[in-house]
Amino acid sequence: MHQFDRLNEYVLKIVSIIDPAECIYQYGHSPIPQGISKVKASSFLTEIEFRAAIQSADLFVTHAGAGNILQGLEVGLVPLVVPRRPELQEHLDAHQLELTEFLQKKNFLINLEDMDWVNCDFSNFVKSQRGDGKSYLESIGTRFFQMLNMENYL
Amino acid sequence: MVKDIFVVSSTGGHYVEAQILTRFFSSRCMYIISNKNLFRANGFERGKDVKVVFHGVKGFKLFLNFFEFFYLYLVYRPRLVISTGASVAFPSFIVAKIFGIKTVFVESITRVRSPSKTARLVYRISDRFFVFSGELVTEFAKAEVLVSID
Repeated sequence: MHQFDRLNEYVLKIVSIIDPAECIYQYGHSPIPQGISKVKASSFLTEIEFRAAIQSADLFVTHAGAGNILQGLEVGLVPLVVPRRPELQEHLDAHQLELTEFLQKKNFLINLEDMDWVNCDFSNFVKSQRGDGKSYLESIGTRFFQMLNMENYL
Repeated sequence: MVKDIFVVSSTGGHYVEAQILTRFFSSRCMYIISNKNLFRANGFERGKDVKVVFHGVKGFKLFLNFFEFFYLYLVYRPRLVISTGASVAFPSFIVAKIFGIKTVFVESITRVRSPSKTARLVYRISDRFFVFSGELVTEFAKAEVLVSID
């Protein structure tokens, strides 16, 4: 299992800047995060707990796992991501980097590795009501439905 | 509603992608999830729409998957199997072929420049094969680009 200690550093930094009222942290196979106050930390949330957490969250920091990012987009969040890098033994391959690059081009997420920490305003990344990401995912669903229908697969 | 479509995936991202893809016909879908981590699967709304099979990557569990799908297809008689990976796609498609059930594979949205091992494995036994990236079409001639992410 791959650890991802780098994410802790980013979370610490963001928490120290915005001082949130509450912070839920799922740390997975990485060591238990230290030094973050007001944190409810657990190694793994269940699927239902996770959904409830992102549903009520204003800000969403995550590794660049497709599941997390897509679920974040679905509820109108702008995921702040740190992609796992294979050269740092954070994952098997570079697929998180590839996903990050492409969604970054579409402005659906922020790569924290490229963050300008001096001039950043985190209020820009609070849950938006624009729903760009959500409608993009809907369009994928629509297209899949149409393409299957076209040759009578459904 | 008759569940005539099986949607096969592992937990996590693959399952989320499967839900996004099938959102407009989910009432017809039976979701088959491989339980990579039982404790996480515990949170799933297990019931008549969700079945859990072993997480077989190789060896004995993968071998068990063949029997599990044989049983599930025999009982539920789906007419279409859709998979977003990961490895569980392989046994589900092999057994689907035996039953003459159509198979649809969708490569993960995360695969932009190089395909997954699962994609290579199931390419020949997929009736339809979807990718998100035009770059992957060079490797898979019959691939259909779902939504271009290039």
